[in-house]
Amino acid sequence: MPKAPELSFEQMAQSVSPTSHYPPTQPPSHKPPEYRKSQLLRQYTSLLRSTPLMLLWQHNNLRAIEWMSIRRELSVALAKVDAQLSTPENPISYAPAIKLQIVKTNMFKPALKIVHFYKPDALATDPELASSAQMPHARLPPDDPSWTHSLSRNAHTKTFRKKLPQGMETLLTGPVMLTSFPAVSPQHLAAVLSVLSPSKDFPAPKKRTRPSYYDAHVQSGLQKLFLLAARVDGKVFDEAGVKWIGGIEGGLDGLRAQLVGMLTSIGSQLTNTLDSAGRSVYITMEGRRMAMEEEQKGGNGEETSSS
Amino acid sequence: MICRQCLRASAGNLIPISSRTRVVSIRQTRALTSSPILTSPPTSSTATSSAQSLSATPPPSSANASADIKARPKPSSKTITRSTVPAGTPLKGLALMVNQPDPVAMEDREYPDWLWDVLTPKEKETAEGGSRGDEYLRSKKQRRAAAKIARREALANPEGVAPKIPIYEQSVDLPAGDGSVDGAVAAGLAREGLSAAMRDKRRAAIKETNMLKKMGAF
Repeated sequence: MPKAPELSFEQMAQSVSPTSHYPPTQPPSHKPPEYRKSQLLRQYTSLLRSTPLMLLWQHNNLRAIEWMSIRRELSVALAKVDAQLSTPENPISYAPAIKLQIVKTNMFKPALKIVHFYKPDALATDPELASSAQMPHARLPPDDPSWTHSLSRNAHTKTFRKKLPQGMETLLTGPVMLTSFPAVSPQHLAAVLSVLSPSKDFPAPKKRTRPSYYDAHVQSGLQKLFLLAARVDGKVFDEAGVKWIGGIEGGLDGLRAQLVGMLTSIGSQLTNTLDSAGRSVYITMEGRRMAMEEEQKGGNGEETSSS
Repeated sequence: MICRQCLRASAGNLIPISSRTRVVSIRQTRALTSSPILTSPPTSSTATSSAQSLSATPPPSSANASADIKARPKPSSKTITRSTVPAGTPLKGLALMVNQPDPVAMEDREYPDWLWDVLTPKEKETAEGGSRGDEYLRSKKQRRAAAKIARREALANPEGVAPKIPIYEQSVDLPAGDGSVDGAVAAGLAREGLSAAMRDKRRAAIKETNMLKKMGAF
């Protein structure tokens, strides 16, 4: 029987040098990764996964200077909200992270499908495992199921025949602009709504406080922007829903306070109801006792008077 | 600037006095020496005996002079006079052209700084005796040593060996945030980095085509 070749210490202690077929930053992709479309898909999947709240707008032929003016007004308004909300121990600066971004709908649609319908288990587990899982299968063919990144062939084949998630089908036609928020913050949402689509509930800044909001460029730009919908934690909200979220007073903390208030009021009502029966019994009994005592007293009085 | 013979002569500091004097006497006609005067007086006595000397440069690289180099202090301050000739002295026999007058010695500070340590031997870059460039040297031994270092580095750090892919050609997922605000902000910054890199690449391509158009290549 032929003897197996002896292993050197290094061979036993370490794995084979991973001179991989695919570099760790460039796993096999369905479309060539140097295409602009591929890179846009990477960006949009990251955007959809990392943004809990985004607004979708339709924009019609805004000029560059109009975009610039609108962005300026928005950043000023958001900085004010930041200053109002932040406390010395808990500073909040969402304003630099809230962006207006024009998206290409033809790449945003597949990105939406991938984020909604393609959820490989490797992504769900801890990131440590996901990163370490890339190296061992560096030699596998491109359509191997263990490639699970968004540009992989698996992600493509499993999603490209699907329909868009519900509520999104009609929205992604024509020019679309996104406002992405790093967190669900109703106050910031209200500020954005009051700047970009002022209404009765979200009034525009006053001319006295913010004269530059009434510049011709800002106003002509705002006339060409229409709010389509919002996407909050993967669900689509229409305009009324957006206004409801923006109208939550005091933000999420305010919502929690409302909930607590509601629960405590229910509790007190319940105790009142339960209490009321007992109290009425008590009152009746007490009344009856008083009456009986009076009767007794009356009887005694008669007796004493008679005797 | 300094002729080969002078270099050889200054390198031969350690050869016996008798032979050196002979060399100097031969070189009398060239009337130049570059032997170090300030730092090694015993040799300088013979050197200054020659008619003209340009400067006292540090010794050139040579194997047998290395012990001498270590003992020598490095030229540090610019105020120290390093030239053996006072400024303004005509340097006879240094004219390159026949019909040119002899050059005149300048002040020390008028010479470029690199002149004063041009002959100091360069220190080796790594303790193991080789930089990365040694892989392409002629000596097979040095090439082998460099290759060994490279292999060891590759074994220690496999990711370092992987080819560097620019961000606009990568296909791995961009950071998607971890549900926290900081994660979302970091993911946003990564996306902006990708946009900026793509924009830079586009602009570079435009510049290149414009230049080629101007040259008439298209």
